[in-house]
Amino acid sequence: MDPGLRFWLRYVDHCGGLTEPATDGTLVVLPPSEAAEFDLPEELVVTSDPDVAREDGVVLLTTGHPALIRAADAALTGGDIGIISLTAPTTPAPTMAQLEDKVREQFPVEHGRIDVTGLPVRIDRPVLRVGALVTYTVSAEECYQERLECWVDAGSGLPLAEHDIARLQRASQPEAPVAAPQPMLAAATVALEHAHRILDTAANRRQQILSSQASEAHQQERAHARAYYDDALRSLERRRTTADSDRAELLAARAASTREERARRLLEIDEKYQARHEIRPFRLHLMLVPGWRVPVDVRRGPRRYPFTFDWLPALGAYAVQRCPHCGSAASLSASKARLGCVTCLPGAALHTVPASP
Amino acid sequence: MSVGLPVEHPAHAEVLTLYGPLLERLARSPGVDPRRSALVDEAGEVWSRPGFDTVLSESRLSFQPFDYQLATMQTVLRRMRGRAILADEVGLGKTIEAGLVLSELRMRGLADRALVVTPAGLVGQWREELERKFALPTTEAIRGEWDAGEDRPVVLASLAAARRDPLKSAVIGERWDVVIIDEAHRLRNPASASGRLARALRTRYLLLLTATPVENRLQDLYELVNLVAPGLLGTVAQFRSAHGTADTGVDALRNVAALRARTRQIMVRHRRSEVAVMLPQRLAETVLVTPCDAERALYTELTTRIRAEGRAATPSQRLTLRSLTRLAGSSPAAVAPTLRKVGWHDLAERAGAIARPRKIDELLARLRTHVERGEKVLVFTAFRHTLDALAAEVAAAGIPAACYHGSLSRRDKDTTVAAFSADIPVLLSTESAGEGRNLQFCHVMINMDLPWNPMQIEQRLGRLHRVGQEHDVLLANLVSRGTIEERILRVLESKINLFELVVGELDMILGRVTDDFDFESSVFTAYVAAEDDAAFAASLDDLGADLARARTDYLRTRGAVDQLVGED
Repeated sequence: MDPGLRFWLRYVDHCGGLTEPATDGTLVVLPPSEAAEFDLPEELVVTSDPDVAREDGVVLLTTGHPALIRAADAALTGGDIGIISLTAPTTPAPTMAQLEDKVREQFPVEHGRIDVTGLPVRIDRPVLRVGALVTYTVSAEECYQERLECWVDAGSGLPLAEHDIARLQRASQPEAPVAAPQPMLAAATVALEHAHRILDTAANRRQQILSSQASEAHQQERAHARAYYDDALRSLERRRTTADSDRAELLAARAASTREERARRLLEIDEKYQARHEIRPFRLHLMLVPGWRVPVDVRRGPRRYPFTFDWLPALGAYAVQRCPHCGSAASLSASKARLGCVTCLPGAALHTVPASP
Repeated sequence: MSVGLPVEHPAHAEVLTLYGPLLERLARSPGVDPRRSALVDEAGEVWSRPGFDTVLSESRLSFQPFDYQLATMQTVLRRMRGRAILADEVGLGKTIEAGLVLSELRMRGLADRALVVTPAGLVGQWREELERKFALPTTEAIRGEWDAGEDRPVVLASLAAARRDPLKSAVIGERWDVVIIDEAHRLRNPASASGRLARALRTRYLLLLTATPVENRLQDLYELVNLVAPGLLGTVAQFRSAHGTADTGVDALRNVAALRARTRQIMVRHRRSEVAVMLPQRLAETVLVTPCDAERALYTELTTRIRAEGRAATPSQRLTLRSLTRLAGSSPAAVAPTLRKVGWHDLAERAGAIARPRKIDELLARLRTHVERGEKVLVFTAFRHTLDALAAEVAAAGIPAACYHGSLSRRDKDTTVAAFSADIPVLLSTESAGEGRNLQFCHVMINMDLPWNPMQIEQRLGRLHRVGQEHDVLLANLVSRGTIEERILRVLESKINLFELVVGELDMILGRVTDDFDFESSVFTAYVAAEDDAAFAASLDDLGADLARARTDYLRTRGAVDQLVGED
């Protein structure tokens, strides 16, 4: 079945309509409001096979049909928003020794060592999943729409790696829906800015790729216009040099106006190929990932810098952390004065760590 | 402590504007509804119109295109921006490539108004391909009108009709999203009616399909390229000064590399040697059946009368006489009802008295052999009355057979083909039936009668001789001695090796005889005009010579095109 029709039937079901396979297609009973919205009868048989539609008088609905576009737009406007609270692990927290080994392994500290200093505390770490439709306008005639999605760890504002996303999706066994505590919502609001920046960066990259396909046409159109006006100006100049003074003045004025016209035309061409994109978010999931907050000291000789790491059983790893001093995602470094990272502490070796373990 | 941005960090105004409504609903939302998530995902798919590096239409296709066909679609959409000349060698599926482009544009809402202009004989084939392979609705433009239904059908028009009013005014009055012109070499002359039509059509995307974008003159190429990308080859003067005069042959042109580089910007050509499309062989056999005395006498009497009447007949009477001649070549059962209609009751009675023509004996013998071998057999006839007579004889002989014809409902057609595929060894079928059906499980075809139009012979063969066929296709043509069909077959076999041609080549050859060459009509005209059979034979020889010349011309042109637009 055509994917567009499959979606539409699901949409009808979702809106309270009825659908049932029939011999020549699918029998649909639409709620009156939906029938009016789609400009279709309340009871009809639909198909995506043109042959069936023509021979048996069945309504042909395939991707691209206005009814499908309207339904898609309505579903996207309704969006997909909610909170997912992952089931808390039933197994006990790892021992302090295990947690210490793992944190040392995952977060090597330059000039320092991590010691676990207390019992882990049960927490829920917020993760945002944001989905958006992006409209790319590559030229006045070319427009594309694509979907983008990102998963952001709200605690650090950093994107999750693909394998972590896959693990979270597998672990999505939501408990009974809960309302998110206010601090979580506030964290989500802040993390949204990071998510938006990630989406926007990705959209910019994609925009460049799509525009590169149009750039040849852009250059060609520019070259044609330039050649045309250059030719016209050369001709005017040739005639001007042999013309009498009155005529020469007239031709000079024409040349000036041709130059202005050329500038306008080239600007028009550039505007026509001006690429841009627009982001339309349709999905916002706040996922509460259960874990253990582990208090630690980062030690350099006798100096101790208290810190915490979040152990997330669903990921089998600690959540990514930013530098407490500059917010960078680079490796931690303990100086004699403070805990920082290799990018903000003078003399520290500069190397970055991946976005997540 | 956990480090992120502080919660009191003021979110950017743009972000709040964009995501504010979602955040508000998040605060109220109890949880994620998986059904809604799935619905929204699907809505996103329907709404998406991704860059052309993603193929949207593949899920709607009822077949698996070849990689080179998909690559062509992407090249046309991404690099050529929807305006291209598809110049693959015949038989490699230019129609499929154009259908893929059209389907992809439709999925993206970029081709609501689509027009396909094609030679009259190919309108049905285009309809079949677009509807069955691409699930695209179609409508045929007739006398300046077409049914612009809500499902935005693709408008199909024959070139012969579209280049004349009233259809011409109607199609050039429309602003099309996509125009596809098949056999586009017919547009080369800008002064011809076809050339003028092509230049008057307004469209954003344009696909010209031809295996021979250039024939004898370099100017041919210039004209076609200029339709797709005006100015790409410069002005006529620039083009001539760079590459040769209007009448320069392709073998004498200058700066070939530069010209190739330009044409490749808008032209795609694949050759059989480059792509892995292997079709099994066609093994054709002509079975000359000696008719019984009654059959021979009836045929002689009938054709003599037709020749006599035909000379003074009006066009509609000639059409009836032509039809009678073809019916007589099929079977007495087929011709009898029409003989009664035209008032030739004596002949009708004689036809009705022939209980079983010899061709049926031959057919039954062959069917038994194939069925014993466990082979499926597709039997074609052009006429319903012959089909009914065959069905009765085959049933009486105890051979299980199913019948397929245009009057069956779609459901009955499905059931019939399913039965043939499952346990019925023989399918008796009329001409129009079987289109678009997958019959590749069968590789034996018997023509009970021979269409006078060679393209119909080709189309019959195409039911079995297509991608997916794993056996050599065995074809037997049953022809009665002394009939016009016998002479036609001799011409087609000896002059153009009809049954050994590659799929699609026949059309290239027939299209080269004259612009509106109609083989069937030419044969009948020659038959009526001939004083006797010897004169008719001489006329057919002339016709055969024309076909042979067209074939030579086609082969020469194919080489020239490769020289100009092939690989370095």
